[in-house]
Amino acid sequence: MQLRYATSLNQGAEGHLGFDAFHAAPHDKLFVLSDGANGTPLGGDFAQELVRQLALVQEHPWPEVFREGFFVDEDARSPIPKGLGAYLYHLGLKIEAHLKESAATVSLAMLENESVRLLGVGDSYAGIFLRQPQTGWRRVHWLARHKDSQGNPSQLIGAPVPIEPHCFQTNLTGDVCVVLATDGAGDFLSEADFTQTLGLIGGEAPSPEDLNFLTQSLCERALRNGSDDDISLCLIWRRS
Amino acid sequence: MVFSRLFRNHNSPDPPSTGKRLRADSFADALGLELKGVVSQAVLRELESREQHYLSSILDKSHFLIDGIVITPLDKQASESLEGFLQVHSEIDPEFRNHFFRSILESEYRSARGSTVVVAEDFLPSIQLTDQSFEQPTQDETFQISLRGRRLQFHAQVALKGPVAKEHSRISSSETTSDGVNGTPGLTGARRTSPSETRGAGLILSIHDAQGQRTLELRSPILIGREPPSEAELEGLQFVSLHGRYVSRRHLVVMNILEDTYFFLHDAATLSCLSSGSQLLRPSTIYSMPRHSEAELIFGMTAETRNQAADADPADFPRVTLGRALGRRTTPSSATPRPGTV
Repeated sequence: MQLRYATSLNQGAEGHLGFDAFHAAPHDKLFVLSDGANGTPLGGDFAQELVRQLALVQEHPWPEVFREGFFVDEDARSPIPKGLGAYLYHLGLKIEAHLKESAATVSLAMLENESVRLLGVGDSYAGIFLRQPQTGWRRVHWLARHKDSQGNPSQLIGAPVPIEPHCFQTNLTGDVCVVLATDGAGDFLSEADFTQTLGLIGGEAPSPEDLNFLTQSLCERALRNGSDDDISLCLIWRRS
Repeated sequence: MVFSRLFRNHNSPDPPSTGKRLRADSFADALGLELKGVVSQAVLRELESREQHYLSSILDKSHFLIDGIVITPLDKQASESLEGFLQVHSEIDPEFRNHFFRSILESEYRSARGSTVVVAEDFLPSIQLTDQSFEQPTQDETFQISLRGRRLQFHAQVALKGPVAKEHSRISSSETTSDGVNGTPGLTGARRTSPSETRGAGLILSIHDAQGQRTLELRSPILIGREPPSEAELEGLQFVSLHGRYVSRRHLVVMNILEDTYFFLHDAATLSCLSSGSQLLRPSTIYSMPRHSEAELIFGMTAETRNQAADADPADFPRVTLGRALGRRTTPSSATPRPGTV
């Protein structure tokens, strides 16, 4: 399995706000992006701490729960995600004990040789794209997001609300690209932006520099499309 | 030669003798050619070392930018020649230095593989003198250099940044419109804003009055009324003229403070407004507009007429819907709140 990734973090014009954070544990094929709620006093710090905690797989056994306790289909609700939700809820409260009244989203991806798992809490984005030799890159799945009627996240890690993460798992071989994005990027990009940008990879194996260029290009496009938030985006390419 | 022309253009209006002029032309041309070649080689060297990390499909759709060029004279004679040349001509034309260095740069450099470096129009290289720049070659060294052919006087070091996507490679927005599928997660409903929308936060007023319907996008603060006051009276307010029977000359003031929008009746207003939620505005009271939503105001309504608000004729009772223009936030305050307590 080949695994490469690149991320562009807290992009944006006019002194971006810096509330987004990213952490990767490539050995564990684990990637975490978080958007700190900028209406909270320490949202950026919370996001930093959250991604760090989630990527510390040696200290937290939760990725095993994540691996084993997954359901295949979003519709197939099971008690397992509730356990996962409780784990994230308590992790959030633990961080919130130090970073009062703050909260953050999380978009997480775990890529194995033949499977891709996504987890999301809040209004950040996580999606999977697959390359097919005949048709090129196409979307496999976008994870649902937690949004209320006002357009704000209805769940955040660290908030005193029950956490029910959106989860998705699929078995995929071949060239796969996972997108993790904060709403500052995702709200201002369309699916075609992604498929056409990934089209530059084609069937080649992109270098980290290639992926960095693609993430930058997507962030610049989000900025041109009017994003006024922190723009953060991670592309993870996997070939198996 | 370009440098001869440049030299003439920036020389004194009183021409020197022909022989002296030819020598100067020759020197300028030789210096320019040398620098041009050194810079060009340095750019291509750096470009080729960078382009190997990228797919050709990406190189086709992007270009590199020059972040910096440092030119170093390699011996004392080269340093003195260059500095003397620049100093003499800069005394005549203060802009000569810029013109000269700009002229040694191409607008674009292209590698054999097809990747390109674009030079910004206002970019200028810098001269850096090192210890080497003050050393005088020995006679033997000069002799050896001469035997080998062209003597290298300068060294250039180039820093590139990028690649960045070419502007013309932008994917058309028409190809990326929303498919509007309800409940579909992801980005199918990506919000698009026009350039005018992104220029700055302001207010959008949708007006329906005796003159029909129109929408205005304005910066706050705004004064809405029947007759425009004098410039002095406005004191920085933008005036919006409202045509209707029951509109005061100065009726309503609307302003943005950070991410919130407030409105209140002008001191001189003799009539009121009915706001969303059937609230009749009272004098000397400031009202705030709910975030993420709009406020509809019906001008001229009274306690007696408010029951007919739904059927009120806009020619008598104009309607104004206030909304926030999409724009760049200057503070993070409009932003994501923490979901509430269970």
